Amino acid sequence: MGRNRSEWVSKPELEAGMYVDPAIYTDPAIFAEEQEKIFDTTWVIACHESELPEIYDFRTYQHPGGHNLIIVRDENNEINAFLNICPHRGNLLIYEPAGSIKGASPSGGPRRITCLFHAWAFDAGGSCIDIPRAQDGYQDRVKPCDYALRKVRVEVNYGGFVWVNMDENAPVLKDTLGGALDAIADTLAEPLEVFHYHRAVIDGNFKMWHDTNSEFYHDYMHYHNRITGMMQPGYWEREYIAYEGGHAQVTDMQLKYDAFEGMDERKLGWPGLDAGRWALVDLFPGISFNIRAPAMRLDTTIPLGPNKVLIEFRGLGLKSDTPEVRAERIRDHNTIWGPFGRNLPEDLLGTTGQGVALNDRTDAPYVLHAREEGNKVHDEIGMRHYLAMWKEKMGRSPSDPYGNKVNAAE
Amino acid sequence: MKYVCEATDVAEGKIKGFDVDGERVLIINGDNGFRASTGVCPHQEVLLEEGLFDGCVLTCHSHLWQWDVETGDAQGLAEGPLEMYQTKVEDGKVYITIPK
Repeated sequence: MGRNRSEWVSKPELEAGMYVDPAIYTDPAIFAEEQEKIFDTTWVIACHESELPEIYDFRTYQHPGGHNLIIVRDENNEINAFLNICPHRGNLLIYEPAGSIKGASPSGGPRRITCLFHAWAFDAGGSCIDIPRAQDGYQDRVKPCDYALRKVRVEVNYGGFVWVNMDENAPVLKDTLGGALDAIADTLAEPLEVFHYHRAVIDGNFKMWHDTNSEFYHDYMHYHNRITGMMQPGYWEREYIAYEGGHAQVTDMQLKYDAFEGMDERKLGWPGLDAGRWALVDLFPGISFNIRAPAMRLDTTIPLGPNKVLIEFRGLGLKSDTPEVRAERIRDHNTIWGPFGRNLPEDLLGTTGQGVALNDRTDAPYVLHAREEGNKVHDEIGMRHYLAMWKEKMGRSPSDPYGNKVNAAE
Repeated sequence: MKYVCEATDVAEGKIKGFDVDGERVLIINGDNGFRASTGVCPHQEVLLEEGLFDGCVLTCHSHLWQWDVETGDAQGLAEGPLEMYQTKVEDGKVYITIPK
């Protein structure tokens, strides 16, 4: 027997915090508020320093707060971030996803970021170097020294990742992590290098992706994880540790890859992890450090709207890798996490399904976050802990975001 | 007893599903010889032939219910036993009795 409408919308017999109003995944007003209150005030990872290895290398970054950024390595080997906006007429200064300003561009000379519109030119430190026919048009009213780029805060830290924060008054990165990455510090101690990048754009909210990374109950979706993990010793001892700031760690375990017919045992380790061990840290509001020795995966979410998310996937090895070792890391990474790997498409399917199913927020007034198993692997404490931080930042309850549950449900 | 298959049809340490009078049965060539059980998981009716077998313990891949194939007793995450059938191998042929 199914439930009728009034049964379907009646509040679960659970404490608040054990369920969520899916409006937090789909309401455009809540999303706009998240961009302002969460993404514009927290540290997010724009890229890894190995993706701009040379002086004058750059990447552009679609900041989840809705901003376009340039990340560029300057002549002093410092990595800078700027709004990708020409202060003249507001054009994009760089259109390409990545490249170098070392050589001349079609619009200007070498070592310059030159706007293609009116050829205003800037250096890698953000200074305005040239305004064409400045004296003729502006006399002394507009001078290069007053028209530098808008600098954005950058920290290169915790394994060489390039973190940015739109908030000039935000605490330093370390003070916002609550020790979450210190817990896996030995895995981030050696110089890392990105060997893989791809992105997926799916229906669904950025928090849904983070949820998926924050609970292991969905191993019922992953045949691979049941056979190599859930059936193996240590799985049920895996534990969630919550860190201040909405971050969570799942303690590592030893997987048995060869329990999956056709898969090989992992032979190569990772700093701080023996071959085949799996460690995971999820950072608020949308970053996951995921290490299945011998490869590391980093997820960064970029919401494109309340119910559309772009997820960036990076695979990393060590800078010290020999070609043979690197090949092994790449193979092991791709078999599980590549676009055609064993697990990643399943995770994307799971989140896409939520995005489709919950698209009309009046359809489902509640979804559950209620598993309590002593913080062990199928406990949903990771999701609840994340949403407790969300509540603090947003001043809204995830289970009652409008403070008026009866009306919201109707 | 009913004939199910040739003993050579199921390699040592392997499991295989067969239809016997319209019922799915699982033939198990385990560490202690041939055993037979229902071919359908008592939990959610998943085919057990898609599961895993290590010679002693049978595992349904879906929710990881497990049983000792000597007794059908539940192990690990299983919440109930597995129905085992009487089995005989004669002249290289496997026979079972399915209780009515």
